Amino acid sequence: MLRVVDVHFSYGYGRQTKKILEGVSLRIECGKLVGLLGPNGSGKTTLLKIISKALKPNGGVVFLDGKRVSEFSVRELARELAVVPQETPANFEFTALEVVLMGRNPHLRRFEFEKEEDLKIAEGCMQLTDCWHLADRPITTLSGGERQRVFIARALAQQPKYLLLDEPTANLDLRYQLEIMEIIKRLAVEKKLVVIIASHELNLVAGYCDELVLLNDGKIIAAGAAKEVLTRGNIKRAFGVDVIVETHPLTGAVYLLPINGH
Amino acid sequence: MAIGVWVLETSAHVVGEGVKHAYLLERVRHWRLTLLVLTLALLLSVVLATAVGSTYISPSAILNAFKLAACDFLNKFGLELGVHADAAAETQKLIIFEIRLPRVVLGAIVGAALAISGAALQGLFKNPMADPYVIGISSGALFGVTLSFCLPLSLLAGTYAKQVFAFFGSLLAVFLVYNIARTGSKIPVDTLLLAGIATSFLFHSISTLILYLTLRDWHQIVSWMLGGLWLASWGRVEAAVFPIVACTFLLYFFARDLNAMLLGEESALHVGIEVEIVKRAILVLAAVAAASAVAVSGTIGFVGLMVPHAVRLVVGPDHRILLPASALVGASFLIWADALVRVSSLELPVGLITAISGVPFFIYLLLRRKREMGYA
Repeated sequence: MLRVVDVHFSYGYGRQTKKILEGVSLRIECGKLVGLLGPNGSGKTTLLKIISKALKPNGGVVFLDGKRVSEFSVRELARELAVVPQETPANFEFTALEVVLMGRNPHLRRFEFEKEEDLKIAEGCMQLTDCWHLADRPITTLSGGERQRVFIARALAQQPKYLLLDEPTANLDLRYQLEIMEIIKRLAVEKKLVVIIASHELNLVAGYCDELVLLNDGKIIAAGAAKEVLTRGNIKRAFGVDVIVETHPLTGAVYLLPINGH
Repeated sequence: MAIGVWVLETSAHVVGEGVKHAYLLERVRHWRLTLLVLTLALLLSVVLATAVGSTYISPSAILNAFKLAACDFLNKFGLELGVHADAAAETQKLIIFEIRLPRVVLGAIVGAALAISGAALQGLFKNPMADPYVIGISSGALFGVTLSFCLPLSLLAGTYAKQVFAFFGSLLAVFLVYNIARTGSKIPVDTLLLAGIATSFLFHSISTLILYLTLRDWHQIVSWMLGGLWLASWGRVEAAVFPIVACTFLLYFFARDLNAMLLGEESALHVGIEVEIVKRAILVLAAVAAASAVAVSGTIGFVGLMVPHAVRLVVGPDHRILLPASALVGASFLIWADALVRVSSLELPVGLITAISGVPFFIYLLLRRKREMGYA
């Protein structure tokens, strides 16, 4: 279970202070897939960074299974929690398999080489994200979408209980967007993971996530089931856009249609 | 080079065939084989380069001299082996052990230090143009050495005084370059190079100024500035070998961390690497290795730039093979660059040779980068 209690975060000092998060609290049970929504600059990425200990909050605490994140060593934390970054760099010629094997780092001792078992885990993760056929390709030669799948496989290779994804579908075409969401959904259920996805794809996320959290100006303005969060009023307030809220005729999921030019 | 290409082809073949499970074992086997071949090449280089000089001594005579030395050593323990040397063989032994071998061995140590320092810095800065010379570490060390000459401190007169001064000079340079070049949490290529050049010029100019004002040991210090191995002695080998070997092993300790950090510092943090600690440790170790080299041989440039680059093209970017392979290739490279100097009988500084071959390489890297960014 992931618990975020009254987290505050701001940049700068004095009159220059820019508040990013103002008292965010969350509670997510294991096996749940949660979508983190909100306009640009609403604090989504900052919240993910605080949960993953890449940033230290000015106030508030994050608990993983009742233990404070600040009490984990970096290595311990990497065995519990994995992050798929927004940008996936490709400036050195590692092969896709080598990148995924780096996910085994927190499980290896200092001078230990990857073992058969690590390779099997890497293979499993790469097959799950449909990139095993890219194993021996240098990541510099992969497309954005292919690289994204490789980095999701790397996060899975850490065998985490908590998985944070920052816009995981940003570089993917429609087919892979759906496939990645299916995979993530299945992982959350089967392996009882806590998964948080920060995303701008409101309709995509609404169709897969168990719960949604809507951030605006560093505060949670709505949280809960898609029907409760994605209302006309909430979307107007957060994004300043008029929408029609509809129900998907086959799946029953909520989806939004923006009203252009109004 | 040929061996390394073969290694790459074979591993690609293994992976491509779908027998991917043999991949890890094959990779370790190829790494070991590569290191074995490079070690043998280094030993061969030592013997052959010892043969080269103002008078040629055949490799068989060198082996004979080694045999004599071994006998002398055993004689000390009262073991008479009945090998007797004539006067000519004794002279050759003297040339080999007191003149040539220290120089060759010092060249190997310095080359290894510069190459491994360059390899680690390139990984750390995620930037193939980093090198102890380019980013100012060598000039900082030079500044330290210059200071140690003009400060009349009898306390610091020991063998390691130059080493210690060089070390603090290089740390100062690292500190300056790092803080000038950093924008946010990133170190962009252009600011790194500019900060390096500025720091280099600063320390070089101050060193020259100090020399001009004091003019003590002018000859010695000029030799340091140009970078050469002609003052090699067993004493210098002794002074350099320990810190350099220690740094080499300690840098290898961080090989996997460097791999992960190539993909971004935050990304490395998320796979369990204490990025800030690792970053500082690598900076200090790379500075110590380069400073130890500068303290005994002056600022020999571009070895740390070229060698890791060439090695990376062959063995790939994994630091677990890149670091040790760079050290071995760097050692052989400097031995042969210095052999060229000795054969030419002009006694040019070896730093001149490495710069003449290194600068075109540096320009090539810049041009390639320009092309990658779409300017040409």
